[in-house]
Amino acid sequence: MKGRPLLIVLSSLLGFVLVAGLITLVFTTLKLQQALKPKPVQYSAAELAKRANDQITSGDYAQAEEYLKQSLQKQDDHTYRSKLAVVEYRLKKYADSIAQYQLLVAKQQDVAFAENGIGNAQRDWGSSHYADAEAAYRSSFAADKGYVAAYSNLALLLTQEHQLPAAIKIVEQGIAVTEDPSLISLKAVLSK
Amino acid sequence: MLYTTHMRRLSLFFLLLTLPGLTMAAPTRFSSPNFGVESIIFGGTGLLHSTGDSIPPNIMSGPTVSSVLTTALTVTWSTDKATTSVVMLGQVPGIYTSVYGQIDRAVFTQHIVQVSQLTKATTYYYVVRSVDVAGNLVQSTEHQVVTDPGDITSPVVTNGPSIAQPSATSIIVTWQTDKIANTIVEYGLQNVTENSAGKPDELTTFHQVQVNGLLANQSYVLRIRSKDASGNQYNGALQTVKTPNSPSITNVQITDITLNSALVQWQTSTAATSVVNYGTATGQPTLVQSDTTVTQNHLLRLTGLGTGTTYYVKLAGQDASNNRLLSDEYIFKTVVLPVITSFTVSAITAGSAHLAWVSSSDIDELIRYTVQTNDDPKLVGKQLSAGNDKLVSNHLYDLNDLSDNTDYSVSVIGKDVFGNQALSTTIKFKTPVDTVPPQITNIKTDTTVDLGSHQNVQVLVSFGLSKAGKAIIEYGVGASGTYDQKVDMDDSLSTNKFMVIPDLVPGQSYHFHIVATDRHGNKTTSADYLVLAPTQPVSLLDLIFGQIQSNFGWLAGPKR
Repeated sequence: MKGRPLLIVLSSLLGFVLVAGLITLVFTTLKLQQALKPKPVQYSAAELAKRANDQITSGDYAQAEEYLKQSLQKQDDHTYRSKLAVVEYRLKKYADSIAQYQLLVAKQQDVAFAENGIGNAQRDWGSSHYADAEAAYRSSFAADKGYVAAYSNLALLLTQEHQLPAAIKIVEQGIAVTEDPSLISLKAVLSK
Repeated sequence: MLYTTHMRRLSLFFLLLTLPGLTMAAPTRFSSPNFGVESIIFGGTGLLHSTGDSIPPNIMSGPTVSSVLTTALTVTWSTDKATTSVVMLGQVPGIYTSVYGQIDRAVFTQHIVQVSQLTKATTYYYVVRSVDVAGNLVQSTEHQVVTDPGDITSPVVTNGPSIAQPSATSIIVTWQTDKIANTIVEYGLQNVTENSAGKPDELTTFHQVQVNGLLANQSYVLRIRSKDASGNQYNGALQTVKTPNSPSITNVQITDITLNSALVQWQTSTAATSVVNYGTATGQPTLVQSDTTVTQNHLLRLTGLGTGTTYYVKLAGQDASNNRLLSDEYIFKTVVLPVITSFTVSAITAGSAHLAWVSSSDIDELIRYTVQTNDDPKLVGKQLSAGNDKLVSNHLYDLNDLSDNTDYSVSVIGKDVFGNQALSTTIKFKTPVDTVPPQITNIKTDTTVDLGSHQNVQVLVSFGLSKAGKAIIEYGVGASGTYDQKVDMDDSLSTNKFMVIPDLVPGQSYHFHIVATDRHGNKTTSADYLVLAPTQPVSLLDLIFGQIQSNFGWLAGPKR
């Protein structure tokens, strides 16, 4: 009878040690699992942009768009953004493309290129956007008088709207500033 | 006698001056000690003023040394009458190489002489001398003193040394010490003592030395050294550092070329500034774009370029060691605004036309064509389009399903990757009247039993037409002969046909041909084909019952 309390104490102690050991084992296992869990590969912005280029080359614009968005999350780079704008234009995501171009304009990065891109996206979005397209083209060559594409695109838009004299006038305006052979060629086409 | 005494006195005086180990710096005038020959001094030399006193002074206390520092100490003693105060001192017993104190004014009884310019932690032997105005001298016994050793712990490097290589020909060595010390880096190709760099006279705890003028792609051995004010020196362990190859430009890429911009990227073996020299003629860069940021990965966007213009680019830069980098010449051409040329329409038939054109850059294809004249007035003015999204510069396209005897006007439009458009000239052409009958091809037959009748079979005929049309099958019994029956159930103008010849007698042979007619009435007839209508398959049970039926005809039912 005298040894009974001691037995109770010892068995309680043993139980406590076992429980503590079990908790420690579970905790260690969880930590080990966490450590062994494969971590997602982290690519730099430049690496993601390179992958986007590869996808563009292979014609997978959707995947390229994804990579470029990730690149921009890591680094707000003018080149990545202009490329994303072009990719989204190719995917016919005109609103998204215009939004990217507008960010370039807001940051005064390659404004003529961006405004011309906005014009192209507005034009292809549908005839209800032609007025916006025309305004964007005009902003493009206002930003850079030598931006040949904006004169050409505006002239062809006006032609599409059956405003041939106005189209020829725009081309002549571009030729006066740039003397660009492609505009001279376009004038010949429109004048026939 | 007087002469002799005088001469002797002078001789002794000079003897004293030339005693080994005893130096007297001019203009010190030192009283002649009497060396026990009091009469000499007593005779007067003019240097000391004899008062007739012949009793030498006594040292009452001392000499004692106080304030022993690393390079200085103080000697004090007292005499019973006013005397000079001289301390003679040397590092060898009995040989005193330095003299300190008041040697020509016998005015003090309490003597305090500052001794300086000593070496730390060194044993010195000294005596003090006191001479009164009468030239009577007293000299102490020899004493010795050890100067304070001072700070004897070397500096300890607490951080580093770290070695950075900003260029192929320089390194930067950085370390820190626990107390102020000077900064030395010793280095060499063979031996560490070949060269040294640093700031030997500047004491600091942060040490940084840029070693320039190294050879690229060489292994150098080096060590750092730092000496504190007490002369305690830290000598670092020998280290080997290899300089990289000479600064070079690699991985040059010119991408994202647009109508008026291009992205130039390159790498340098050492961190350097970014400069792009470019122009429209080889070897003559007239334009420059630069970035003073020092980096190994360089990226510059050239803007404001001319459309469709060839540019010649040379990359340059300067690294932290002022090494200049210059690349070879690279060439790129900006994208041209798409222009369509050489647009032609050829191989015009009654139902098709072949289009070809060339574009100055890769563009997609949109063909717009309009019916100008046609027999059917509903078709006049009808606008049609065709094309595809593929971006190419050499374009070929076949327009099919044209109406014959019709005037068309056609133009092509294309857009490059950025959406910039190009428009061709408009070409008008007329399709001729269609006089060519369709061709019948790929005729195949199959036979099936008509499950409805069990007495007839049917032949399935499939074939193709080279252009849309209608067809009939004419057939007759036997391997040849007339075509007295026909299948005429095809009302559609199509190119793929499937027709059924029904109700053929099993086991009977038939011949047939196909007559095809296009929408213009051009008719063609195929060759003659022979088919054998299959018989009804009979089972073994049917044969047995058939035999029984023939043998026992009375058992048979009424003939159907």
